[in-house]
Amino acid sequence: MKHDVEAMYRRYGHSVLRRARQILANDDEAGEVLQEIFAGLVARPGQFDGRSAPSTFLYAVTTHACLARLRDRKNRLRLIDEQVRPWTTDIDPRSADAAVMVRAELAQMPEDEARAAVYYHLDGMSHAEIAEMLGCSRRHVGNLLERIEHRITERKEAS
Amino acid sequence: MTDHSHVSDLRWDRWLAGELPPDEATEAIAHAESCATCGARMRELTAGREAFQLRPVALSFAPPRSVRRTRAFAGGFALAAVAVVAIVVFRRPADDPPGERPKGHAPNLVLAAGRAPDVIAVSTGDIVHPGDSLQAAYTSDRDGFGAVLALDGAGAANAYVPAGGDTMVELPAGVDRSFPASTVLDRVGGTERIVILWCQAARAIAPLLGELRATGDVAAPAGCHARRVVLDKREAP
Repeated sequence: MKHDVEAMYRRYGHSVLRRARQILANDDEAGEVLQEIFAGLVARPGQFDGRSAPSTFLYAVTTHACLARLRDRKNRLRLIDEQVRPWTTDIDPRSADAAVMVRAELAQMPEDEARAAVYYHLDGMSHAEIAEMLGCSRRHVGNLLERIEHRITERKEAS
Repeated sequence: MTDHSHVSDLRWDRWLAGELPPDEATEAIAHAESCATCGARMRELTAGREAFQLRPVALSFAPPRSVRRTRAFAGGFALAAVAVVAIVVFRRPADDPPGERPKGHAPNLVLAAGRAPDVIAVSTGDIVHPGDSLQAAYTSDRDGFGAVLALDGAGAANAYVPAGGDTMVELPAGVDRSFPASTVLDRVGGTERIVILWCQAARAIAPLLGELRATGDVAAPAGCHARRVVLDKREAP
């Protein structure tokens, strides 16, 4: 129902927009993602079946929508051209530097790694929360994050 | 990599949306009080949410090649144009698609809040401020009776509708009709629990207020439907 989506927009729109900005680092594109997600819910309300909390559902669809955009060739080229500071493993995972580095790698990562990277570095989720979002074990989350660190370390060494 | 020791954005977003279980909310807030990083993040996300609610991003739901549907949605569901949202709440367009009416015979009860013309539909977890107006609305295919009751942060129970007297007001059948009175919120901060009641027969208000005061809620009596909205009343930033 429209009222349901309207209420969801009022309550969660800020979170969708903020996360889209964090992932894409582009206000215009973040606004487009916001539009895309809620217009999609109006057109196909059944995609949210209520089995998960609305926030969890919207985190997942926002991440998916943003990663799809990042994989767009134009976006990828723009990101690769960004000035990226060297990676250090002791950097605060929530810092702006970490966000820039992760964003630069997202387009190249496999889907599960990219989603884990967003949840860990941009949303600050714990392993348990990421496991719940991805529907996998905490052990698998640990493996994904190790792969991400390895990937970024390789990038640092290559640069 | 080690696990984060801070409260994640997901947790704060769930807290802001009223989704977080009370024990987890208490734990997160206690952590934020002793952790400068999390305290700052909590304030930042709360302010971001408030700013969004005051000035939401305008969205368009108009399919590009359908003039008729463009009109319907532009007039009826431009979510961010708050004044337009008020139109959705109180004056649903006549050409709304079928299937948007309440299922069965249950009335649809809606609460809106804000300052004219920025009156918007609100739900549990939303933030309101002293001086905001509260207005309930309903859609029902039958005549009925109604009341809007409130329990404020100081534990005082009041009837917003009816504004006087001890009997529910008449609510003629209709679509997106307003309750006959609105209320301006006072300065008592904290949780504002609103119970909107629609009943087939008029009921006395005093026992309902007594129940609200004693238990913090009103169980919908037989032949009645209730909508409960718990708002967070804070001073405006």
